[in-house]
Amino acid sequence: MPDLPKKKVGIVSCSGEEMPEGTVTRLATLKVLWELRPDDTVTICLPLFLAGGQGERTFARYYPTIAVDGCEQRCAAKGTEKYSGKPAASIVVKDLTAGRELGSPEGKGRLNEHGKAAVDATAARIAALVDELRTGRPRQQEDESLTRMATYHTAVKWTGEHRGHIVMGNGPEMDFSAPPDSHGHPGVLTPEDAFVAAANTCIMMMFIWAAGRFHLELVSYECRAEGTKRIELDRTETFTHIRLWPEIQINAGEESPDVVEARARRALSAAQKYSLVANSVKSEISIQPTIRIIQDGTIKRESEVPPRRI
Amino acid sequence: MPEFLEVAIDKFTLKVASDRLYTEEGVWAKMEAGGVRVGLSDFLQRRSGDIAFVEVKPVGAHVKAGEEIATIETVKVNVSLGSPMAGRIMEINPLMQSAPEKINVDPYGDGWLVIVEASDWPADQRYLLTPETYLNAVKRLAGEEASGL
Amino acid sequence: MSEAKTKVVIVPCSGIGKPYGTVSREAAYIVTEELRPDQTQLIPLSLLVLGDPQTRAAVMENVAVTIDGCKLACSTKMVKESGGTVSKDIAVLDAFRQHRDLKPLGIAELNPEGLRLARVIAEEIARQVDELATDVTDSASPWKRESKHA
Repeated sequence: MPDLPKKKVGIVSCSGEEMPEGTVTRLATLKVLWELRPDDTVTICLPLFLAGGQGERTFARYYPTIAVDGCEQRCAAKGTEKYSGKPAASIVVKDLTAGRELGSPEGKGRLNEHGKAAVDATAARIAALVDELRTGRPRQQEDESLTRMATYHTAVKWTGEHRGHIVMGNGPEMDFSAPPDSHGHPGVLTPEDAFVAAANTCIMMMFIWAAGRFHLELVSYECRAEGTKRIELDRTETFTHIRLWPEIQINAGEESPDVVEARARRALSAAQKYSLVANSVKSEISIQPTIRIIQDGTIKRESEVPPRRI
Repeated sequence: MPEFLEVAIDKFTLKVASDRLYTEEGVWAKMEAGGVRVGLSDFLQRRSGDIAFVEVKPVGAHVKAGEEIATIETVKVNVSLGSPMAGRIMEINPLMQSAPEKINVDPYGDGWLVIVEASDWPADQRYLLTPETYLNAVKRLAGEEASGL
Repeated sequence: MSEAKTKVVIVPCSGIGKPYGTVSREAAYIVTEELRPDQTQLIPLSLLVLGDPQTRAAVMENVAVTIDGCKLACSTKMVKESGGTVSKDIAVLDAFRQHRDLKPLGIAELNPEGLRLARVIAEEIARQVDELATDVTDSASPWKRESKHA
């Protein structure tokens, strides 16, 4: 038997150029090789393997090999089986991403966000197989959560009359109803409140983020919001407007209050532009902020900015 | 005012000024009487986001082609910008300190970054993309990103 | 003389062991997607070797430009063994020797110099494609299917 590395798993990827999944196999393999399992894996160059590379073929004959293919053509798996023996495990990216309801990867030279998510998912799967092949048992799963795509969930249940119970994806749960003037009950969450709250909270969170990016020392942020519902001729209903009145206080520190105020306005403008909820609704959203710039404990500038409509 | 090549991707119309050359990353270089003016393409500024701060190498600094010449901090990301050519920085756009958002508003005009005294412009410009080739690159990259939305 | 050919097939090695393999891949994308999208077709080497009928037909019916990342020249070797005609075999290492300031680094993602090297190679391939097209349209110069680089 040839003198071969001990306790390594070989990974052969198709690197198919014709479709994004081929690029996914390549990048996922490299991620496992360099980041996830650097001490446990080697990569087998498929073109060299197919062209007759004896080192590659010998390795795959005596050591466990994982074939990573982009599509059902399974060039890596077929090539390995043809010249060395059936691979110990086989992954097809198209099957993997379909099974996890990932979006379709696009782009060959440069993957889109779905493609990058597919790389992470495929690499995690390869790493799990490496563990199983090396030890016979799986290592604790790496975090396979997608970093570039996100889905959000809630679940509701009817609890009688015009009441329900909602469980939010991020943890909290509560009863809800319609507003009292719509056959509902007081004192609980309503869809109307939830909608206005979605805009108010999202813009606030985006402003907090933008304030950090603009290097602002935020002292306080409070915001009142109002949503206007219109009942149409056909009795359907629409939120036509959401109006927000944020009151913002910022410490200027050593900087000129004028300069800080200008940055604060830019941060608020960015908050409106990048707000997920504001971008997702068809209601007209207008923001009328009051910005106070504080320096040495006193308010140096206070401005009420004219309403800006999104 | 330069002429523009344009491409519509999804809801965006992306412009490529036809009177200058480009790096693959989207930094443009325009030879003028006083040196080579450098800035960001429309595609690069748009995908970077609203600009909060710009930090540029100081006047007098020497850069190699591809070496970082500036960094931009946007609302979303930090981006390192490679120099299109080797040379010495002669002038920095004063608006980069007081109004860096000009890059977003007017990337091919008032939003320029620096002027560089190029060491070997004939040699370095060979590696830059023509407006037509850069437009094709933008179509490819923007199309790939848009199709993932 | 047979009917004029309409495509040049581009066959990169896409080797995963060194940055030069990624350069071959990137150069192939630049040629087939940006510079000469209507005149070229990208061929996955593995599909060719494993006998995919459509891939084999494309290689047999057109001339090929191969791009190899190392001296083992897997792409050139396998295109020839599959019965294809290699009109031009590009060695990334040779291109690097002519452009020593463009040292490619990174396999998953090329550095700027590697991207430039890929573009230099792609532009050379584009010129080759144009020459081949000229050969086809020149009635005094029948399409030559033997390799120009024995």
